[in-house]
Amino acid sequence: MELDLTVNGERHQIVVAPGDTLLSVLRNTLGLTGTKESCGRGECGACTVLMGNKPVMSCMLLAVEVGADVTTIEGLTDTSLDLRESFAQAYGFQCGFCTSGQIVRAEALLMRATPESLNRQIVTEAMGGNICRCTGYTQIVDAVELCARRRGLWANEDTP
Amino acid sequence: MTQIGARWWPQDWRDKTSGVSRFTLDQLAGKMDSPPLWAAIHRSPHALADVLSIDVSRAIAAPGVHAVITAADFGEHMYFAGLPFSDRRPLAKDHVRFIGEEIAVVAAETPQAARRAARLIDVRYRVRTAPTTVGQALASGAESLHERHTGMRNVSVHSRGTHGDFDAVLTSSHSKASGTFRYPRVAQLPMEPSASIASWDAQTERLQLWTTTQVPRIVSEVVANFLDLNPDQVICRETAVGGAFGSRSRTCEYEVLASMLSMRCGRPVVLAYTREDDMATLRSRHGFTTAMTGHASKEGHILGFDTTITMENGAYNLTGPFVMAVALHGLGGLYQPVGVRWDSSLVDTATVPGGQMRGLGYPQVAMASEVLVDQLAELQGVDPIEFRLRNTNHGGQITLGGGVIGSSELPACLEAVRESIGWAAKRSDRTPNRGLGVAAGIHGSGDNGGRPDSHRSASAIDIFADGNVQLRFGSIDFGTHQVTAMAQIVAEELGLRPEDIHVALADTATSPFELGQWASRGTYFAGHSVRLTASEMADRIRTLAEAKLGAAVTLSDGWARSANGDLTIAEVITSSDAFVDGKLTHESTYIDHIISFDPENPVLDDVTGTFSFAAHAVEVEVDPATGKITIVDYVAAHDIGKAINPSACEGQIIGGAVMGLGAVLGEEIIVDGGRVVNPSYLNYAMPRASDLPQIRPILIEGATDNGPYGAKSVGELPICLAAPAVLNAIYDAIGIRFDSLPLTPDKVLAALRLRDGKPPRKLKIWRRPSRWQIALVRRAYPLGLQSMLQRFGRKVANRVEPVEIAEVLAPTSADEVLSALGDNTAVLGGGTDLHLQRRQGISQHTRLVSLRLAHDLAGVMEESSGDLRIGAATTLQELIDDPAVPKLLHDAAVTIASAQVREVATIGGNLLQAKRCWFFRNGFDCYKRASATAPCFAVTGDHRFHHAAMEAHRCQATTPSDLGTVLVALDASIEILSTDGRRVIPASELYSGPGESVVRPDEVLCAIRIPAAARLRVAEFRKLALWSGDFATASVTVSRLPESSPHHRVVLGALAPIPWRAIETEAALDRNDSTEKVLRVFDDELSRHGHPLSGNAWKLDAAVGLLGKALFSLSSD
Repeated sequence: MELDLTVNGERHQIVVAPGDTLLSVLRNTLGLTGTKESCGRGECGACTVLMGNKPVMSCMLLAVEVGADVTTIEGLTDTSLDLRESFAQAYGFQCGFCTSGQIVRAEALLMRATPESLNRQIVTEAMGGNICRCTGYTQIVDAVELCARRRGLWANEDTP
Repeated sequence: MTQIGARWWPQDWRDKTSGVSRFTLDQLAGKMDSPPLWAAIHRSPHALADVLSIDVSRAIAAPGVHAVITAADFGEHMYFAGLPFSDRRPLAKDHVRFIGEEIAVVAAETPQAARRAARLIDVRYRVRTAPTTVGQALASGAESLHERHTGMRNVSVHSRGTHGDFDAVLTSSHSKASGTFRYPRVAQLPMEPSASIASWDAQTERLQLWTTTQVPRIVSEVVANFLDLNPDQVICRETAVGGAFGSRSRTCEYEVLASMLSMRCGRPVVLAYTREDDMATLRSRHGFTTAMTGHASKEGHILGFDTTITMENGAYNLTGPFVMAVALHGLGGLYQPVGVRWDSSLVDTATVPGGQMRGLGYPQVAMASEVLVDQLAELQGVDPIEFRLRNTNHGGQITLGGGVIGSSELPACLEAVRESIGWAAKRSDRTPNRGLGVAAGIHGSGDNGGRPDSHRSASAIDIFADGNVQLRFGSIDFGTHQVTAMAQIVAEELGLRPEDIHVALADTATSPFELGQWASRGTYFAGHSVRLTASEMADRIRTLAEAKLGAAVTLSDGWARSANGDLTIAEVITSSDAFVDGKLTHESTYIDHIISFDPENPVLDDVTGTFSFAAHAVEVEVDPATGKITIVDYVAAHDIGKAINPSACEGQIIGGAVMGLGAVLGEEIIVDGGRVVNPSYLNYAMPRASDLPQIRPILIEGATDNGPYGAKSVGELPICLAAPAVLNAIYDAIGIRFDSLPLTPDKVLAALRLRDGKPPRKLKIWRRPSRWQIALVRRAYPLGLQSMLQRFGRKVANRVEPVEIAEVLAPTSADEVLSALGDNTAVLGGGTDLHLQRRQGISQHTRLVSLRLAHDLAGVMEESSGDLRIGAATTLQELIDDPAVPKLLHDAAVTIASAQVREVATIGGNLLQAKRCWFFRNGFDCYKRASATAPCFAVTGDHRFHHAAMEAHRCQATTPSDLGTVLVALDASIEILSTDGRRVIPASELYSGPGESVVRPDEVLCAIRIPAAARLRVAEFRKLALWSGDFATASVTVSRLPESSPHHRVVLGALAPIPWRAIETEAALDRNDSTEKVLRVFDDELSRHGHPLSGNAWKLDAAVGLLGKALFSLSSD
């Protein structure tokens, strides 16, 4: 069936099967391989994309069920440069396989945060759906904190 | 040195943070010459059987199939080689020895066609009784898996011996401490699932391979051997690798199978494992049972250890013998022991073979030895850190295994963690149930891997006309940041910035000789090799420049600088005679003078480049109410010699410690009858971000040693010390010495009960006729009922292959949803369970009716009556965000799954999700999945967490929905729509069984209604789960009206098949009994209704603990 799908600001008219997941459409139909599949069961967050401004697992979402514009890691390359740089500076990745999902999930959090609303616990809990087997998470949370501070989203009373 | 020790950003950060890095399956986008074929494996359903015949004719004839290969396609003597004791073929031949063993592989046009064809392969077996545990394998009369030469049934390797002078240990022994320790099988679980793409080109007779490996060159060699090619005909191309942790340090089955199929078909072939494949069939860490005695002298000298190790090999050797030998090195290396004695057995079981994992045997052994060291310290009345300091290693020392210790900063490590964790203050000013623990460890940097060429590592540097610099190095970077370290080294030697260096990793056609990454070789070999090549290249440039400039030259910022003027490096090299094909190339080979391998005398001595040391200290808190262990603080100090990049070193330490903590707190590959029960992230309690505190690494740099710039390994040791450090801390906290991992709440609560002298709960089943039948059946299960049902009762179970969806409808109102229902039709909410059920073969629906556009099913509405009506399609996130939603519902919703799931999962879907029993979900042909005459696997299987401890009947599962539990405490009702109209039932009547509702297939659950009065209820929800976001292992909800007649509700989740109200406890609360009395009433009520399985009575205790916490919170509100 035909589907109208806007991904990273670009409108695509594509043919999909009713059972195709958003993940398979992104990777196989549109060639956007930045979004990864690690479990295919909605349990690890590696396939996280934004639907509108919501972080969702694209492996558990049928493409025909997508009700908003989609943003993938490729769509955040420029707009989230500061977040990417924070991941680099804080060493928030090792193998990098989960990193697309981590960054998309973190951007969803930062996007919806109000000034000085974030702290370590909020960030840590928010990142709980994104498994990373390499880093042990500390440096991922460091990276999100670094970016949040730069964007003025970090609660002041919290010491670094 | 300006680059060595700098915190340069990762060399690959731009690609890794933008999704540009290409991992194996990403290579399919654009690189293939022709469209690829897809491979699917036919795996053994039996743990042990003789293969009588394999008929592939139906598979070959199936549509879209290009080839099917079996063992007959490989030579008679083809085994995975490289180590002695090889016994595994690429495909099973006459026998299968574990569930999931590969028997045949199909290549077809699509993944679906390949899977369909793989199922058409007809294998006839003679099934044998499979010994699937070490105990069964060693029992008399057990079936033998292999002909072994040890003279002992199912013992693959038996090794006894001593290092040093063990008699002297016994002679001088003054104190001794003993224990038997069990380290479970755990999985490496790199995030990228295993995959290979093989592409054979008949014209050039070359095979290209993109694969998830740590050792591209070894893969080329082994694949070539299997395919009867020369190694240079098999080219591993550069690809990003998403983690490995040892699991990919040997050639894996998928690499050989994809290659063989591609050669057969002349097309690229993709063999991609699912997460479940990876977890159920790849080589996890070997489970160890380690009985050990530690000895100390009167003066407090740790003399040595005497150990008997029983190691579960799984069905094939792979690296089992190697792990067994290496595991012992730490015992003779750490401190200054005078002797070690061992008796180790590698036991074959009909389960998935174990393999190599970060730490390689040392985590299992250190768990024992470092706990015994604490016990020796206690016996001698010495502080555990002080005791270790008195026994510390020093430079120049020779280990009992023959290794030479160049330098040791172990004392500095111990002192650093003592200071950092606040050891002295916290040990003297005690907080109840909190404790501190420490552990120390030793690890090498590289080994010989059983290969004579393992001491060599070559690298090459190309400098191009434009001054661009490329390093070629034949390894891969699976997440260690080796690329960054190497770029820093090249930059250091050539006077450049790391970002000026392009690092080209293994392409075995163009990379110089290098074997790859295992045994903490990475930094040691890459560092030496790249430093050698870069410094020689620098010499050449200086020589060329000095000839031109006529003065001494230094290299900096890309310039050759001298007193007579400066030249760019490009200007220097382009005029050189050696500048050929647009570049100046220098290649060099580093030969290590320590690591060697003599094939005539293949002894695995404790010989390594350098020894690194570490001390970890941890503060834990044990919750005596629930048995949950919380890591409060964790400090890890590592003697790393010299940190080439401190941030990268810290990352290794944190990541390793967390992985080690995973095995301590929750991780375990659980096997039942040879089948892996929990092959998914959901069922595998590995740490998530919010499960652990920030790990605090401390880098200790020290005296120069054999490593490049003095660097030592840091990748493996961090995982090895979590177990003993936590075990020691728990002893410090509650006085119990645990010896079996993981330390899940069931074990902790059981041990606390024993410590406190509480007798087992009296259930008095004999007084409860309604339970007699169930009790009788449960008793009969292990006595033959289960095997009888399995053998005779099983009907064809639902297949695991998901059915194709023919249609997804999206009606705009509840009435339209209703009229869209029909045969094979399911209602689709967020899909987070439905799609999983499809994957698991549980949902066979081909038509889905989505609620996404049904406007009257969404949203939260306050009605004029004051009632709250929540549409079934309201997402959990909408519930959380809506201030009108009672706090109780909010508090329960935030504990469910993850933010991403909560964005789409609906309240209706949450209520109606199917049971989460891991046998039912993960392919066991159980009573609920297969047929009424099939067994329930939970009765004798692992039922500690997600099965009922009260009121269960034939199915032991529970209802997984937390919301289903709390809604009962909110007096909620459920609106159900059918063509007959609307019916409303109390939330307490929603379920007819575990995860089974009264909503019929022709009905739609359309709303949840919370009455105005109940919205005022004051409530608490307490949940015990194995990781943040997991389903409850037990939950308790308490609510009361804020008035003189409080009408308490006490509702239990995950305890009984459906949410269960503790009526007597509610009455006690309504009577305003004291908390102590209420808890007693509750405990009593649980005893009178509880009917736990053999391993989940602890859940009743946990419920009491949770109620206590809930009541405490309520009273302080």
